[in-house]
Amino acid sequence: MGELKKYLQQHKEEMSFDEPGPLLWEKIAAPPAKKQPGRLVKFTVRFAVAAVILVMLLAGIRFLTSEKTQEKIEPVAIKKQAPADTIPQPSTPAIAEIKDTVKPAPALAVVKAKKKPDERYALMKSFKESYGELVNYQLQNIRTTPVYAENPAYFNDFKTRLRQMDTDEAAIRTNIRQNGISNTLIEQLINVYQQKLDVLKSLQQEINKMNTRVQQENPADSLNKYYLNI
Amino acid sequence: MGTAKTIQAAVVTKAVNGDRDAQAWLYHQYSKAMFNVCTRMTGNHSNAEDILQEAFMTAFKNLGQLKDADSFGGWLKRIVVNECIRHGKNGFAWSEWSDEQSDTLADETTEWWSTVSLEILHREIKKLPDGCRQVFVLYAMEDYSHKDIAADLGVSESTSKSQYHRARQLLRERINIQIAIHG
Repeated sequence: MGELKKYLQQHKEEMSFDEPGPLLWEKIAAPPAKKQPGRLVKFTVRFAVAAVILVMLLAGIRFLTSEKTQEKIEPVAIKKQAPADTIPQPSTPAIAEIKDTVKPAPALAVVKAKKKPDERYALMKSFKESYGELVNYQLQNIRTTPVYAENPAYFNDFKTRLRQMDTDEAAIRTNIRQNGISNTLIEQLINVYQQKLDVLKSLQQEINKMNTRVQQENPADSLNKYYLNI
Repeated sequence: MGTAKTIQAAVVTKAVNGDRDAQAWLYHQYSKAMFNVCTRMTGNHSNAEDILQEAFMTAFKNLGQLKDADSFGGWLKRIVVNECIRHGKNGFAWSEWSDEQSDTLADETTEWWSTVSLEILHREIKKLPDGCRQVFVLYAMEDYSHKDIAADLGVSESTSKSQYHRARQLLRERINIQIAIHG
């Protein structure tokens, strides 16, 4: 055994100069059940945020598409009532006539039934645009945040999860293309977007936490930084 | 000593059944020593606390598997060291260390390590670079063989040896600087 090793072995017990924080035992002793309310609150908050976003999106879509929908009703309704070669040009008085009728014509009922898938496609498109913007914004934030600690491999788990969600999203879209849109598929799509945002948020928090820790413990000029390619 | 062991055995028996007071007693008995193992292995307090927390939780969860209550300390130490290894395993950047540099160690005539206080020695060990610090602590302080270190860290035995020499050389240089500054 080397002399240095011998020396350290002899004095190992005396080399206890560091002490853990006073609250560490509290963390160890906290029963796992206590975590449940935290999760519940988190889920509730997440659910509330999702509901608010959904309501806002629906309101926005309704506002934006209300005029377009009215314009679409008229030609379809007229198509059912008259032969193709006698279709009159679309005009606003025709819409008014249909609306004023006490008993709607069967053709109008058909139009109303057909509106649903259109709305759902519009909804899906709107989700893609609004969530997509949020996701891109968050991605851009992460790409431009310098990382001071760990190596890029540390974040592989986040990347894998994001890739998996991209695959899930693609699968849902394929399903929609092949089988048509349904409320279930829309819900699945929303879930994927929300999960993506959650993962990106967690990643950003992890980077921030790690940067703060490293910057507190090391002099600024000794830090190496890199950017995540995500 | 015998009485202390008997008390510990009784406390461990109670802790196995989830007694929080018994677990708290064990924590207060061992946390400081284990924390210092963690700080030397990780080089910083924050990671050391995370590892210590994880290690104690693992220990209390698996306390039923401990056959001899008197050997709780050694058993806990293995959990702590394993947690430290697991924590740092993927993040090491192993710097090259040439044979010429190793040769300079043969010239050591003075016991430079005994010229400074244990506190400075402890502090400088924590400041060693990742990789060579873990090898140094495992070999010199936790009495692991280079073969065991190589297996646990997933490196070759020669890497473990060269990293130990590198750590030792860095330590000597840094301590000499400390002596030059503070006397």
